Amino acid sequence: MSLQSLLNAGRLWRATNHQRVQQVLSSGIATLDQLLLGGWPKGQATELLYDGQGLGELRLLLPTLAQLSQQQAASSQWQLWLAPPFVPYPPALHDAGLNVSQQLLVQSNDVKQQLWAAEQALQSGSCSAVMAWLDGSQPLASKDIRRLQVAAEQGQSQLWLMRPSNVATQSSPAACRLKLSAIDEQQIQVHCIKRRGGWAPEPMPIQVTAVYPSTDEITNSNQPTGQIIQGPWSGKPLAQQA
Amino acid sequence: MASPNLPVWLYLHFPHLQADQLSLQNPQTPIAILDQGKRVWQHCRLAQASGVQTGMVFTTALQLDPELQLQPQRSNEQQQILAQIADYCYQWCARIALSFEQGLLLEVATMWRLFGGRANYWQQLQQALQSRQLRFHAAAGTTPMAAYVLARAGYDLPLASTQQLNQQLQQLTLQQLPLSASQQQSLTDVGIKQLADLTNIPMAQWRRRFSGEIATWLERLNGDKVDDHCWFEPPAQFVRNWHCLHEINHSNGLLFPLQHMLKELNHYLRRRQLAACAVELILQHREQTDSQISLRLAQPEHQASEFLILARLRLQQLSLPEAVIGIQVVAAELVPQQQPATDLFAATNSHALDGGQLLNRLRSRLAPSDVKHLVLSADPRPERAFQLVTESDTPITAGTQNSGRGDVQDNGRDHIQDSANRPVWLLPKPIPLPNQPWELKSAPERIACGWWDDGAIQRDYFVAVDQHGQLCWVFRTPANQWFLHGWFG
Repeated sequence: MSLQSLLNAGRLWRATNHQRVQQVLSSGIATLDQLLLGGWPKGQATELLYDGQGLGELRLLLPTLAQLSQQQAASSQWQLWLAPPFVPYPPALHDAGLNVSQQLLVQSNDVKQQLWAAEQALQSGSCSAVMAWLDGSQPLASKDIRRLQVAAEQGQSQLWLMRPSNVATQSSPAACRLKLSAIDEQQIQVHCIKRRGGWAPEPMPIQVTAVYPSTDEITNSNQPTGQIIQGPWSGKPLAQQA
Repeated sequence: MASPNLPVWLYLHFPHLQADQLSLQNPQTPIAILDQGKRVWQHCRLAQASGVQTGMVFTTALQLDPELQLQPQRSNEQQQILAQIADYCYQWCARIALSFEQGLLLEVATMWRLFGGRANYWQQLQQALQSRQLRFHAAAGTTPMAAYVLARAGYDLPLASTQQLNQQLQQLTLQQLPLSASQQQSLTDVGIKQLADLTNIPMAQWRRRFSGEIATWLERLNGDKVDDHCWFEPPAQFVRNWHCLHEINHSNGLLFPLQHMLKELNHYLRRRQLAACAVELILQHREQTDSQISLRLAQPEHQASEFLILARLRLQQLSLPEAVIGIQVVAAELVPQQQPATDLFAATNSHALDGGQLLNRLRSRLAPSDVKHLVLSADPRPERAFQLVTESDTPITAGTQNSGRGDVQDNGRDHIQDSANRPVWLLPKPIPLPNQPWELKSAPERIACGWWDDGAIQRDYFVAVDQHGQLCWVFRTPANQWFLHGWFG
């Protein structure tokens, strides 16, 4: 394989082409900014790799989305949710500081249509953020991610690709790749697989916003806590744990 | 009106209107229009070049040019084209009459001052007319009939003086006058050869000798009798028809005619400073009922390129039930144009669209139900605290809201305490908790309401953690059943 073909395929970087000053978008979380060398790379694709749901994957993003949503320039722009696994719940988005009227939900069963919609939205420059769940029955092809990456650069939009964690071993043209796993309710283990301008660091825990009042408040009130329930299906009363 | 001795009228005669219009749409095909007697009535420039002339029997014309496309005379189509030209000329002339079959009557004297004199005015009007690529004769006249007679006879006298016009008029032969064959015959019988012979006879004798119709016509020519004209008023909606010479079998073939028609729509909208909320495309078939495609726009639009992109997206998905023989474009819902405020210094992006344009494209390519807005509503029940709006009648742009919705949004969230956290993911419907251990993490939040309609609920909501450390939102019903309703993503 010649050097030129490697360069053309984008598999080899020339140091002269490297953007020295990388524009970033603060994530609103100090430790995450540190991990990402300043923040989310601006106008780029970022991959978040995780399995399941409810480990804080969106709480990691919400401060950024709120910030984009409130910015003057972004006020007439959409935030596009492309094929999310569930409905993004508007009251929660409102509480996090997002402008609900900017949210656009696109659900299509056809992966080709989804990719088209993502590319259009990114290129148009009228979407401040695109959150996309595009891995269907088979993982996204590298060339598709590259297309989206180029579209994001063209329109200066943020793209977050949410993908299952088993694609972590595959290479990807995305500018930044983070693998997430749950630690507890307030912390996520974030493993940065790829970032521009630095080696991949060790996995580190990132603090996200709590979703319920702290333990002190609960112990002050006389509510039971730390309860294991086993469900009503057996007809048995709830198993109490001291 | 100016003094009656000035040529205040201008008549535009289009001798080959229908043929020229068809040839605009099909520039490579020679076209002839036949009258009821199967004789050539109109022909396009290509047919003329191969020797086709008006009045020829159609078989002779076909021998001269075997490629010749023959079309029947359609007077209603001619009237439509005339209305379109009138619409176009309306920016140069306020009073246009559609009373004649093959031409337009313009009252021009009132416009001379606005355009800096008669010559200047004609120059501008002529340029505009020539850009339509229709052949025409223009003649001025002191009365509408005089202008009509001269232009119809094929004279081009748009700037002639009253004296020149009269002189030319007197020299017209009987055959050049708009009189029926029997009327001409009756005049020839008494030795009248040209108009001068006729006007030399005093009017009083006139009535006695000839039929009243010739007398009435002469009165109109002299201006003794004033005609009633129906003045053109610009239509409130845009309608254009395209008559296909060849059937169009593939949806891609529709793009060429559509491009032309949408460009006209663009001109129409730009002149009026309007924007269309919706555009209807009607595809006419020979046998089946017409197919209708409606392009609904999230934001009023006036650019042809944008309509064309939307039409293309829709046509790609369309399979035609039958070949198309005609196309109609209708834009009925028109609103005043509003220019969006754009950032002068923002980085230029060649693909840049505004929010509404993006929404239009998404809706055109995907199913309309695939694209949804999120709207908050003031209901304490979690599943009713929001709505998914698929396609609203009122245009929505990102970041702006109808006042009603804005109020709902604020009220909807303000009465709920800050501590009441909501999960970012909501399940479409609560599902029974799967059989695995869960740990409750928060104090319960009781939601008991909805007694005013059929959706009464009583639930205790908890935040819980499953064995994988995933945070979820569960609730317990009074019957002690447990359900999963959301995830804290």
